[in-house]
Amino acid sequence: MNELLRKSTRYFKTYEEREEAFRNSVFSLIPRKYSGPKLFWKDFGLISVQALSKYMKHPAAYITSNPRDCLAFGNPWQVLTAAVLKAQKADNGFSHDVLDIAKEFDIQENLYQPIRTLSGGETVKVSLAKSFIASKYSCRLTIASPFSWLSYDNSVFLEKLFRHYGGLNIPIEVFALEGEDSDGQIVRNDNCQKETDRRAIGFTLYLKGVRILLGTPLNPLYSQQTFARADDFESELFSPCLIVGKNGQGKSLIGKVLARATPFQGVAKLRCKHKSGPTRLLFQDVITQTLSRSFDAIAASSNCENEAKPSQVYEKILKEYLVCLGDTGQKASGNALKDDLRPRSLLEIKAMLVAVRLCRVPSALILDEPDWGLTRMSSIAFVSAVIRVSHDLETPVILISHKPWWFPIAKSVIYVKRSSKEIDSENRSSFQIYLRCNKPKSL
Amino acid sequence: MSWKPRFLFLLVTSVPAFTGYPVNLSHVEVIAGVTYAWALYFLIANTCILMVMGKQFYTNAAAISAMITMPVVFVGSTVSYLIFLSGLGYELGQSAYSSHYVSLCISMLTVIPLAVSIVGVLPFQSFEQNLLRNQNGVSKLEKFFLMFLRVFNHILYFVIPSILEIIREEGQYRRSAGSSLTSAPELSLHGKVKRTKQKLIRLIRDMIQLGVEGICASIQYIPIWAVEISQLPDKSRKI
Repeated sequence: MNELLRKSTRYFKTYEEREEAFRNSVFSLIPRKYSGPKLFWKDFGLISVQALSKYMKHPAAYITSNPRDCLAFGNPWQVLTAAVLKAQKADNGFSHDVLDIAKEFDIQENLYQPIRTLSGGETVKVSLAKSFIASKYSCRLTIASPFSWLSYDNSVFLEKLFRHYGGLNIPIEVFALEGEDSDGQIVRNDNCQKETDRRAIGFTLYLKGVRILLGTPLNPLYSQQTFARADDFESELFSPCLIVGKNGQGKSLIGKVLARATPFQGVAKLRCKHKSGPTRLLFQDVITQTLSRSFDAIAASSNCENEAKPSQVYEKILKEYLVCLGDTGQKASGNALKDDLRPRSLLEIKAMLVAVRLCRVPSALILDEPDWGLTRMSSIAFVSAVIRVSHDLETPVILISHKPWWFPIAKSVIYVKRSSKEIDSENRSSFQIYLRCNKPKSL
Repeated sequence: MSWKPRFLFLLVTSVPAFTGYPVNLSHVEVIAGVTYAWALYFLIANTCILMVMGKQFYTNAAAISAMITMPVVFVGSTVSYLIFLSGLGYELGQSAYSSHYVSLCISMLTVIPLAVSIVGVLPFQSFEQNLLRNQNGVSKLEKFFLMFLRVFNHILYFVIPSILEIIREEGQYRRSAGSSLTSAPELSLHGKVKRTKQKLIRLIRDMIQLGVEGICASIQYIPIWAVEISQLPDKSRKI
């Protein structure tokens, strides 16, 4: 990453601090949703005419921590056209063509595709292209956690955007979590890794004839449909298993298929010895996964009767987490946290969501982009803690990530790559997802 | 067939459903609560939807209608029955309210597919596209419409699918937990009542949580989108 990016980036210790700083930079126009509905309604009530007028006086080009949320229109052409119209309003001489800009950001083939069917990588490029045009009518550029959604292959587009703003002397603010931009792998023989190396839990991944309808379950109401097909795949793997690939290759989609979170046709099975329970998934967007439930409501969402209580598994994860961080203080005590009514941190919510999933011993636990919303140190400790607790329960763990951090701890790696889109005679577009597995490490 | 004639056809077909004319004029009943006019109209409306929108669309619209109608009708009639049993109302017995729910069922199974079809036939994507095609800017009314489309599409394509994904993921577990519970030894009557009560509380709690999440997720980005859309140049302005 270039010098300008380094200089413009402010690092934060927690997701909450980072989100708060980003919110302030957009004049609190985005209410906080991560701390439950109470705070959300308070924030929403405070978005007054004053906040809107403040923003209008000092407009900023911005990219939210989920880039899709800052795209206020139905497809990339509309997003870029709206930006061009605004740029022309600010500068009559502005004459960029939407197609030219789309080509610069490699989204020319997706211009008329509904945003709901764009992959993560394409959405990122659309938001970068929009911000590129927004330089004409914005007095600064503000970005939330770009390294959590940007794969290293797409960083060239972010650098292009930074060079552009730098050339125009427009201030840039980047709000990142500590270590988020690190491209280094986890150092082997780290305190956290000794345990994860201890044993390997084998499982089989089997996909046959998998076909997924993208967009929304209400898609059949509309004529334009997009399908994804997964290549047939069968392999013996070992936990922790890592599913890697660039932005938008279909990693999360595979995770959702395995956890039955998305409807699909065909067979997708994850077989593990002595395990018959469903495969559980921790989504990347854990805030939505909480469904605005309080911490206690999440804990109560599991009705384990004969198994471990979620609070016990949660305490175990936190204890392991603190051991990995090298902290043996009293913070690990679950009892100290039990009756605490403060808003829970994202880490605690993630730990509880995992605990609820592990208490019934699933056939496997999938963590989609587990580093999302955590600092590098924190995410390494969290993942290591989850692996240890899961392995104690003989449950395999699958990590989905575009970051190279996790290679050293992975005992199996699946590479995910997708084909380009094809449109059939009925105006339905489809693409194929290919999975390739490396040889498991010697155990 | 383009969307305009289909929209017009469905609009004309839906006139009796939304105005009650002329179907409410007839009072000759096939069964208690269902008149010949409503029975005929139900058949005509559903056949029209099938013809205009196709089989795939119709089956989805019918499924949506059934999912909405059944809980309303069955829960409603159960509550009415409980009111009758408790002696708080319906002194004439079940006949005092039964026909109302049969009538409600047939009207819902007619109105909902029609409403879903009218929404389904409108090409919202093209509306958005056309509104931005004009290089002279966007009028105030068009900005309102763009904002409506943004929120509508966000709910339809992001809020609902995300919530459904989470429900599905959690549903897997609940089904698995449920199957192990059914294989558990027979429960006493007290145990069964306790479990049913727990299930009911959980259902109510889940419905409230889903409602809260749906509302929060739907409106979270409205302020920032409002800014985006309001920044578009006004139509009156010459570029």
